[in-house]
Amino acid sequence: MTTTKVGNVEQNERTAMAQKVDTQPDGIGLRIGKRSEISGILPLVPGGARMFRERLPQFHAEAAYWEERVGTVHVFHMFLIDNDTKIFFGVVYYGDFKVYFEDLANKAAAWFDNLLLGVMEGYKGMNSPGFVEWFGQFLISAEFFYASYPESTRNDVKKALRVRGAFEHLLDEVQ
Amino acid sequence: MTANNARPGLKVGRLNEFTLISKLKPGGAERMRKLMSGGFTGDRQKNTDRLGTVHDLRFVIFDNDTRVIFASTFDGDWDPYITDFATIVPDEIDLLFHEFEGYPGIHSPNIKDWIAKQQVTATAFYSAYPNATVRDVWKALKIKDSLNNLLDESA
Repeated sequence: MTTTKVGNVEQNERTAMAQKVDTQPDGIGLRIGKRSEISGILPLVPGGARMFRERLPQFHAEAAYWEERVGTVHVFHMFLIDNDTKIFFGVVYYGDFKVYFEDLANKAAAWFDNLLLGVMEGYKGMNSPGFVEWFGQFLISAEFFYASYPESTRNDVKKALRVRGAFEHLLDEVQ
Repeated sequence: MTANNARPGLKVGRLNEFTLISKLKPGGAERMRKLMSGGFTGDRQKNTDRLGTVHDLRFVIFDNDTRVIFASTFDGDWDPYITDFATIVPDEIDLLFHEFEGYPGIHSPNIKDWIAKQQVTATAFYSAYPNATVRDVWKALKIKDSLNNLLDESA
């Protein structure tokens, strides 16, 4: 094995597969290849959690519709924490920070507004002036991020899965 | 979206979300940052890939460096997920979690109880491809690449 180092990391066959983790070039969060992450903790108005829970079934039922429009999100999850006074959310998505928020505002604002208006403290709508700068105060970058297929976008994965299905069907037909 | 049997966490298709929230030991945030600054490298990276069930994972430190969230998306069931941690990447797990207050160690008989106690269940969980495991995705990407190469060669 070679003994060269980059920083404190030995460069050899064991490190050849290492994922290069960067910070987002244009905003908050970490990034590996084409995969990005963002988390946030959102304060709720008094009684907001009850309203949030009431709205969740509709929000969840519409998730695939809106996320298909946005087209870059691999996975997201939301939690009520600290005795229902805050929401923690985490998203794994493709690409740059600003583009993601522009996509959300342009393609899915109604979805988030229907969930968060009157629930989150100070939330005035995703298309309200200065939204991204205001919302940024609640966002947190991870300290550590791992993704198992970081070079593939959401649409790469969906397409590959379709191709695989078609290929396997073809093989079944010719056998 | 359904509850993951009797264990915490939600399931959608074949995917589960798994999130722990814990206090950090005093000074733990700084030590974790130092430890994690290089990401997963070397054998740790390879071993995590060897798990073959983790789509993504992350550690988020918050509350003025006093608390930490570990969040991941994985395939299959809760108990095998924890067992895989203990058998395939025990050293990595102990290294990453030892700053969590009360962490008993991955080989402790109390580990599953401790995890379940720290775990929070999502109120909303979405995946763009909920029925595809990590290995499904890897295989699909290989097939797609191979077909692309085949088409390029025959063009």
